[in-house]
Amino acid sequence: VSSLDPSLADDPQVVALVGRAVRREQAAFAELYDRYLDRVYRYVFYRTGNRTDAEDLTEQTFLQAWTAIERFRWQGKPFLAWLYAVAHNLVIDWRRRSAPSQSLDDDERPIDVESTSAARALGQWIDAELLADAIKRLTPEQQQVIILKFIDGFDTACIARVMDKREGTVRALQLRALQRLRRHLERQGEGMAI
Amino acid sequence: MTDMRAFDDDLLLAEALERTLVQRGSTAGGTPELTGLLTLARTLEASARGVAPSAEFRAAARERLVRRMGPVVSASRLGVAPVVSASPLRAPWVAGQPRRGLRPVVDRIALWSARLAAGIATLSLAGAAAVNASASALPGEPLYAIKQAGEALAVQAAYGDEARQQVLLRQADTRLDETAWLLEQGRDTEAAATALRYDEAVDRAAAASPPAEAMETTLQVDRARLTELLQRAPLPARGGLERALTATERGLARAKAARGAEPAAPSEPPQPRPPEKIQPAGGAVELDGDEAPAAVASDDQIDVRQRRQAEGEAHAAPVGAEHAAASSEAHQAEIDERRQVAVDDGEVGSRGTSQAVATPRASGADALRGANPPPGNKPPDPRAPRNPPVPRGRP
Repeated sequence: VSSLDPSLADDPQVVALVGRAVRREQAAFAELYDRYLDRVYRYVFYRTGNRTDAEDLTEQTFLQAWTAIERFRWQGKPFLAWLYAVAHNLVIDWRRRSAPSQSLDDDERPIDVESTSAARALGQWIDAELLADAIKRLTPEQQQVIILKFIDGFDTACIARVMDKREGTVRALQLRALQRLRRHLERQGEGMAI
Repeated sequence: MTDMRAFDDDLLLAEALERTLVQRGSTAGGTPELTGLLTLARTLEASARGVAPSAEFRAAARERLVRRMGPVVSASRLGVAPVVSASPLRAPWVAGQPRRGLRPVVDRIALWSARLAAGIATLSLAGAAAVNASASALPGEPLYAIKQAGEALAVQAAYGDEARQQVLLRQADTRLDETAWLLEQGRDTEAAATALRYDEAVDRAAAASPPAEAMETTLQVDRARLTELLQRAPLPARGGLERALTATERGLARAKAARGAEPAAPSEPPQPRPPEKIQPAGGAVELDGDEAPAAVASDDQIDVRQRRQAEGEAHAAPVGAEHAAASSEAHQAEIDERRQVAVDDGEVGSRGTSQAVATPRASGADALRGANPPPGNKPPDPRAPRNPPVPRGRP
């Protein structure tokens, strides 16, 4: 069986809807919108850190997807991965426009492994917006792993397929992303305590 | 030596984290760091449950999307409110037409009927989500009954015979869509039964009003589609499809006779539709290379500092086979984070390459780009870049 077989990549109903959307059937694309709006929104929200930009970029994602849908081809990945790719690009552009220096790349401060302040703080005051604010400071690839794994609930094997990586690489990315998130949140928690 | 030890520690921690996440196990007995990371992971999962776009945004964005997509498909098929017509109580396709000499009393009855229908439609908005969800339901699925109820309501609410005819023709189209889906899923018997229901819808449409040119056009398209479906339909489905095709021919003959173009007679040979670009399960995927987008270099997107860091990591990597592979991936992961997938307005594809970060493996920011060829030793497919999105940084 071909690895590009759509039925291996996605739900049959989605495959049928996508087939119709590729033929420019608006009704089919509208159904895809209904089906995937929430997930695309969450994906964007956790990467932008605020609802206004998330809504704006989510809408743009679907508009661009409609524009480009005729060129969509199955690559052994769920259709949602393609929507995320469109959203990913928009987020990258948005980051460049808004705050290019938000990455944690410069932060090489070691984690205090004995500290439990982050764990304590997490249960007390972290909400989705704070998490989103922290996630958006990760590198794009770390963001993707975190969102696909913990927000979307994909397992590591699926993420590896979507990202064209080995599972070991995904696990490494996951670890580093969580470490950075924790470090950031720990700092925030300390700031609040002060 | 220190680097190697740190690398091993990270590897072990990553494995332990993954194991505990998969098993959803307790953090008791774990290191403080592992405990903290698991707590964070659980917090992330919990936080996602409350994140959703507002209802206002959902509706408004959908409406804007539908407007941007264009007026080709009627609003009712998209599950959105119909476009406001010249007369708000008349369906858009009727509003522009002169009324045909109805007496005032009949007119008033029709007006109140329309108001009643509008009222029913308003009430039905409460179940809009269910109706929306049912739009793609197939026969035998739980939501299909809702879909049928919505269709019955649409026929009832249609104002005038011509409008009713159009509603019925659209429903016939829907039966054809369903037939095609069912065939794709291998549900041949149900596909045949659904094709028979297309037959019914066409007959009802023909009976609703004298066949008009629009009906003829619709049926010509249907005929081509049915012919195509018949060509690849398995035996159990063929009977229903052949009857549907007969109904189409019958309707076409009536339409032609009605407009006096030619006497009711066997119709012209069917025009097969071009092959589907995306084939059903098991089929090969068409990958034409004629739309490959232009490549644009983007070296400037990778800053010098990161390249240095990446090079440093690569040099510091352990020499062992496993370590080398893992390090290369980690290296690649870091580098690829900087890349962007190219999805431009109307064009999705590669924007170019970055020699500075070229690596032997498929790049990482391809993460969600769905564009990489399958792993293997094949040379890069020159047609692949037409698939979105493709990195800027690959040769």
